[in-house]
Amino acid sequence: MSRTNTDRIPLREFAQGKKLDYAPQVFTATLRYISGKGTHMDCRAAKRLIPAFLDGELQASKAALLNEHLTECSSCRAEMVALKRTMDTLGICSCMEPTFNLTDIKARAAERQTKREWFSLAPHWATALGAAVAILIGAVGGIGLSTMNQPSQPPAISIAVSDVLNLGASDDPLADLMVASTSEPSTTSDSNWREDRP
Amino acid sequence: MSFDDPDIHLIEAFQRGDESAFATLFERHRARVMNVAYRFLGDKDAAQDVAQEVFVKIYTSPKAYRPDMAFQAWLYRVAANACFDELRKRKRSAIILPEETAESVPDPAASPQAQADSSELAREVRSAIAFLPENQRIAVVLQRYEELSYQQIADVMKTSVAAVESLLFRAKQSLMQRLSSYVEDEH
Repeated sequence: MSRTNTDRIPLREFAQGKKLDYAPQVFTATLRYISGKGTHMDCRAAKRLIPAFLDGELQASKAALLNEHLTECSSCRAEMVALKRTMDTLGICSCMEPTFNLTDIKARAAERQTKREWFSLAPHWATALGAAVAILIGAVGGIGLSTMNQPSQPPAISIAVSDVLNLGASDDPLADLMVASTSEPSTTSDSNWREDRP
Repeated sequence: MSFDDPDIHLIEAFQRGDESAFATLFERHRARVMNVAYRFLGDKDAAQDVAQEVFVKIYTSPKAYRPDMAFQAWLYRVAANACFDELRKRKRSAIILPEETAESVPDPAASPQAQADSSELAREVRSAIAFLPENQRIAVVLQRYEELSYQQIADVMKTSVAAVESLLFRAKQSLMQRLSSYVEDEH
């Protein structure tokens, strides 16, 4: 972020104690430095703030700085217009009316309950055997598919069995995803802004 | 979270065995859940299936909800997780849209050419969203279509507002790049 000479903090003079009347200026300049007031926003920072600005989520102080930058910078204005148009374009993705009703939900829930009861009644060895067979079928199917140079797809029976047994399923994939996203390496230069990554 | 939230009273009533409370919750939220799934997955049939799955989960495990979270935030979270489960089943993150389900509802007043353009654009929009990483995709769906604030999205995703801001920034940069030719053509 570029700063004007008037924002320079006269630390050296202050440290030398040559002029004690510098103290208020040091204080004021430090405050201005910390708050960002009196500074010019650069394009990188401005572009970073544009989405939140368009969403009405930007703090008033930052919005004022961005506004000031936008009045002077045609490149950032163009970026804002392009983003606005893109977001407007997303609106073309229309709504869908659900075709299912409460009866469907209750029927599906009853079916699920029946499956659960069946598996809870089955001896553990039968469940383990079923899982082993499903894995074996999955492995054979996977080998067959990979030799055909096609993307490997787990066979339907394997998916069905793993659904019922809930094998390898996480209760909260969104939490897993957010944890994973915090451990993946930064691929862009904006690491300072990527506050979802340590 | 507001304790005056009627949804919380409804889910608590359902937890006590009041079936009619579930029926009310279902009617209040089924379209919302359906559209989150549709916009996330880009596939009408899969979205219908996932949305039903969300309500089956609530119906069979109502006590999974605890009132330390707004009901709507919890519902969006359950819906997001059901979408992620669907993606995991498919074993790929980029959705290939079936042509017959990728059509938007055409404007009957528009010319056939305009309808075709609109349909193609709708397909491109869904495709662009489908190419986003899952956490960016759910953030965009919640912000752009469900009109949630950054704070509400952070509540759903159990993360910080700054993280949501970062996710949306990167998502919107990607969308702008993928849709640039369509956006420029439009104007």
